[in-house]
Amino acid sequence: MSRYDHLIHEFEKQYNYWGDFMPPYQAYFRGHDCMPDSNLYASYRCYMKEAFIDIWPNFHSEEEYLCFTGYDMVDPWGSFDAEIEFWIGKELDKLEKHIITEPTIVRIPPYTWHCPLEYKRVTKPVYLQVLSMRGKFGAFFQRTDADAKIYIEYVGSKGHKSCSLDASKQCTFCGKCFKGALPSDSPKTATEAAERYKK
Amino acid sequence: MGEYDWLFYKFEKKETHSGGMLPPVQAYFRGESCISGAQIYLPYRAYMESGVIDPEPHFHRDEEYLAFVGHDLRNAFTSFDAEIEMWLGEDPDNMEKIIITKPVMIRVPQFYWHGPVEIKRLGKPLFFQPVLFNSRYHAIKKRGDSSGKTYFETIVEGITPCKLDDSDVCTFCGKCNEAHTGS
Repeated sequence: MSRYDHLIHEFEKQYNYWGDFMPPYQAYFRGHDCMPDSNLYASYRCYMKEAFIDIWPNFHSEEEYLCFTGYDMVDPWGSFDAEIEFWIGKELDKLEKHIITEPTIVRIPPYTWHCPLEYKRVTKPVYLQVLSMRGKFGAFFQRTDADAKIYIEYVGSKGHKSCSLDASKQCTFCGKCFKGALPSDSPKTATEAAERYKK
Repeated sequence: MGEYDWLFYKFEKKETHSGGMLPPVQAYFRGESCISGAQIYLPYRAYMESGVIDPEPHFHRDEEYLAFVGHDLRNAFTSFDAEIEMWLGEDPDNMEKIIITKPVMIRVPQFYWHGPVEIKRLGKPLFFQPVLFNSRYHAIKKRGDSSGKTYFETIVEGITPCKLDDSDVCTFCGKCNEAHTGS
């Protein structure tokens, strides 16, 4: 026992059910879920294949950084070989498309819309490091209710998103619900998703 | 050219001058100097040899997180094989030794002293990622002069004079201290 045990988090294997584009388990520092009072959210795992899971634009009330590098920290350049499509903008109907083909970090200022994000070509696994400077992850999405009212929905990692498969539990972003939760008319590409917001 | 190009930073290969502890080049996101307004500072590279990373206790005025994981992000667990000794505490004269043998994240609260950090054994390359919540690197260290006066020296990227050329400023290039890479 140490006086500082509360400041040390031993990574646990967090099992993924998103699909075979992710490793079976990952190391992910999920802020308060891992360490009370911490202010960081950071991932340590790759995308192994082409994937499109961040379909809808969202924003946060804090800074976020998305870093795309090769999978091997011995050579982040030599182990990178992929093409990623990413959209960003201050206005939802004027998102801007960026294509990432080299190791790149993106700064997302607070209240800036970002995504869709699509891994269009993954020749070598891509290390995406999500870095959020807040201990409780939270994202805001534009939604439309049954009365056609447009609203901004908050989805947070602490008590503000229940498990889609068991409402008595909190969402842990395990991915089990991902495929079943997608409506049949979901966009198939990032470009298609982004263009749905254009006026 | 896009309206938001300025929010994207393509990593440049930066020489390390680490005496073999690091690969010859590394990817380092040095906050404001890479993207205007950035509030984070962190590297992407692996340690290749054992040795002292950070020889002196220091603190920051901001939070810092120290991730120790395997170098291969396809599996951060199985690619980890190392033993690291690190010192941490609120008082530089009463720090506690921490031994790391598994992938961990350590939170260093504001004003907490930390260091030295030493890789005692390295079986596989180590991804040691210090994540500092600031736009540029600074570290505050306790010093004493020959008259017995104690003071706190701050090493600040872009402001502290270069040790090898006092007409220039420190960029943490590593040339002056091959083992110190700026955690």
